[in-house]
Amino acid sequence: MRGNPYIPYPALLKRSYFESDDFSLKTFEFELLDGNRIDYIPGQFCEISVFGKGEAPFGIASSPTEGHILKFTVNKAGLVTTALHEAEEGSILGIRGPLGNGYPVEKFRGKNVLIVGGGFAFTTLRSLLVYLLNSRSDYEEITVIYGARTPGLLLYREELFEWEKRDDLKVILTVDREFPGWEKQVGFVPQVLERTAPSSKDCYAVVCGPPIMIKFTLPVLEKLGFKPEMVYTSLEKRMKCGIGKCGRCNIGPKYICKDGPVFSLAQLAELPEDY
Amino acid sequence: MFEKLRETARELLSKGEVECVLGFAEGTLPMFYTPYLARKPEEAEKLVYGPFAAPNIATYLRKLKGKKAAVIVRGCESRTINLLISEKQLNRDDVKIIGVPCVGALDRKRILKDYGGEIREARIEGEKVIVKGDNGEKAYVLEEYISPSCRSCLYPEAIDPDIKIEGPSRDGEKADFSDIERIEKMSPAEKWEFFEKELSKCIRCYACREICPMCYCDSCFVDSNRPVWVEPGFDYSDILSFHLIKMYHMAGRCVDCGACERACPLGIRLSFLTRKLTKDMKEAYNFVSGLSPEEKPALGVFSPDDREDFIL
Amino acid sequence: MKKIEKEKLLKHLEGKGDLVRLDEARQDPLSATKSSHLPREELLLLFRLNGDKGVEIRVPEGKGGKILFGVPPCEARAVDLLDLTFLKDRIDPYYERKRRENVLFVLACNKPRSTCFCTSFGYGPFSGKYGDVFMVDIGDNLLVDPVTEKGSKALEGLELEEATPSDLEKMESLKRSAEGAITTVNIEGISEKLKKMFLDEIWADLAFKCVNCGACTYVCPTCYCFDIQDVERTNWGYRERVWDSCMFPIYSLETSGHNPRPTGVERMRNRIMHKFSYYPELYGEYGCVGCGRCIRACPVNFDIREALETLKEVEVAA
Repeated sequence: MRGNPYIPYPALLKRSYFESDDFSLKTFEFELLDGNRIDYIPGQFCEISVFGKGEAPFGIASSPTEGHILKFTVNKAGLVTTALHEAEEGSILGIRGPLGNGYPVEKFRGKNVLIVGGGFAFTTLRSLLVYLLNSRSDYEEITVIYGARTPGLLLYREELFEWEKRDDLKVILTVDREFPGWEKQVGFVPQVLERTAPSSKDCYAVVCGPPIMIKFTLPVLEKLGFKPEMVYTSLEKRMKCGIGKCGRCNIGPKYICKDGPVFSLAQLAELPEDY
Repeated sequence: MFEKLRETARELLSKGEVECVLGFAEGTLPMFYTPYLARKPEEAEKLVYGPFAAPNIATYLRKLKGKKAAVIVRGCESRTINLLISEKQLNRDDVKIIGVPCVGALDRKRILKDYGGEIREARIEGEKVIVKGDNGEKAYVLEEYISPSCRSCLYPEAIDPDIKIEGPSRDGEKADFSDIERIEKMSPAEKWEFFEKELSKCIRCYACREICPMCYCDSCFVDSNRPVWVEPGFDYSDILSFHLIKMYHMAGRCVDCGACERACPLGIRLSFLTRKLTKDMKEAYNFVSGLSPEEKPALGVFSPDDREDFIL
Repeated sequence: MKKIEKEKLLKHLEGKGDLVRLDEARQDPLSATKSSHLPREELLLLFRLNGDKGVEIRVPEGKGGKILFGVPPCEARAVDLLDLTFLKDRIDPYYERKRRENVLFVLACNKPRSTCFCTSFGYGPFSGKYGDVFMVDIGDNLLVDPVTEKGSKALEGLELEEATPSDLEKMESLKRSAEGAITTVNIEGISEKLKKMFLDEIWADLAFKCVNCGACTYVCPTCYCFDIQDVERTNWGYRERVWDSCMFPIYSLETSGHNPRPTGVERMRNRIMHKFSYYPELYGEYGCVGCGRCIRACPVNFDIREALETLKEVEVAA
């Protein structure tokens, strides 16, 4: 992060490609110019600038272990994301970050890790998974449960199918309903989680997904014996400055951009339901 | 002096004819009645009406959707209700209209300015406002200190109320637009200067928009980022755009209650715009907004003999 | 304390920076002290798009400090409260520069207004610990007392007389009468209580008359929320921050359409919680200075003093 936290690094858009078959999600790979580098951990985010349109926050989908290319997967929704989707490879945009706290990866050492993801919220979970796999022996069992509405909406499909083949990792992929050619799990993430019933012993769970998925996943985790301080989730709210100044992303006295976006359920239990 | 009103409200509430009565109560500042919702019969004791009521109470009806409510209104507020009904924002059957007499709404900011020091209490005595404060006691003739909008009011009394509280009202025959006529006679350069002087004070707090019962859109053009109609910041062209586009949206829909002007924390004379609209609608189409709930919106209907001479 | 003729002091200050007089008119409705540190519109960066050669980003240079003359203690205290947000964790460089360069000449408040309730917050109209120089207008002279080093420096080269016992007596009497004119709201324990009141039904009642304009937040000397927006021109543009208000629906509206504070009830709750619960929890200070500006600016007479009294009355299960 720069001395002036509001000034983005100029960033070259090296590659961009559709990530989902409905063209709503696109992955962007950036390289910071002028030799700039940022140190980050999985779960942190950046503000991407499309100059003239504005900035918007996105979780970093690459892992710091992958080198200096920063990767983001973005849903086309508003002013900035639409402009981003329209940006051509080779254009210069701005990146400000890393922002936020990130996942407590240090705590995961020597423990089991359960990653539960839904829809296009798998971005920082990808970062986390790649990060963990990079020093695989530091962690015990790693389980991934990831679902989307359709097979074509699963992010990073090729990587997922490769990870599925590994024997040091359990990957369970699911889609909401039957789909021609789909022979993996069918069902919503909470149901699949319940069926899979991973052990909560010495296990940290990291959950990211649409609010409705989170709502139904958390009780399942509780039933499986996960303690609130062992379950982490990443929150979203409208953000602007990303450094806890502009005001809008607070939940009680905490700012998602600065004190989050990652919170344990134990931390969230202390905060008002204002999200 | 509010006994008749309070008795009426108390009765409506205790008989269960309505769930609440919407009106005004004494505020915490001198010369300032505050919007109030009486929900129990005993709360009817707090209800008041008169020149110290600054907002247009019809604004609050949107907060009462689904409730059986009675609302205490002056002429302009009852016309607002008609407009809301014609724009399908309100069902006539959902509200019981209690009409109260109106002598005009006070231009509070002008008294504060003319008095100078801090005013600590105020009361109405006959046709005067008596204020007391750091500069002693002073009396102001109410008629000289009513809102500019009230000066050109043709309908001070509620239209077709369910219940009418009797009392002295303004004379609706004496519509005075002399100040607007003065502006109409200005050269374009003078007009520009005049409006810039007023509107450049704007801090975009949108009190004028939020207090307006007809500004009920869920999303306002000024907040849109696709496309950007008005840029952020305080460039005069953006401030002017906001106010002028807002006025376009108000043509034929504005009852010229003056609530926006009284709401402005910077004291911008917004009535120069609303009253010009009112005057033009009357002169061009012989149209007065909100006279009946059946009336179609003025700019939503077309008549072959509509005036065309303003079309360039 | 020392004393000096007001005209002499003003003459001394002229030319030392942009002199802003707050002592003559009662500065209403906007707080010039806040605007001098957090302007309603502030350039963050300028950019030029140079085609293939990329983007050129320029950070605007500051304009130099202001001397704010006659800042009331409440507004000077408000700046101290802004410091807690803008100078903690990551320093906000735009704010920091102005804070460093501006000099605040605080003037004790001889004539509090009917809406003042500053004494509710453990200070008062004659508190001398805010800003850079504390001054009291005793009629023929100003009593002055530097508060900070920056303040001492601003007074350097001036011939100051020693205040006489009768001057100090005059000050004491002015102080007594000013303090006596202020109604204190007892807010003891309110921040702890509010923590348990997030789901209370009282918020709907409190928020009823509020129409959700931004008047209170814009006139408030401690409200600092801002929006960041780009303005686009052909091949160039700028990014600026502009005041924003937690009372507006779009303040918290997410692109998905979800709004965590969809109605005025949640927004009112957040505003009051921020000032009376979250700020105390984070920094040990209330986020309100009791200046009463919001009370005077409100178009519907929402009175924060009354709201605090109402909140105090609510019974909360332990």
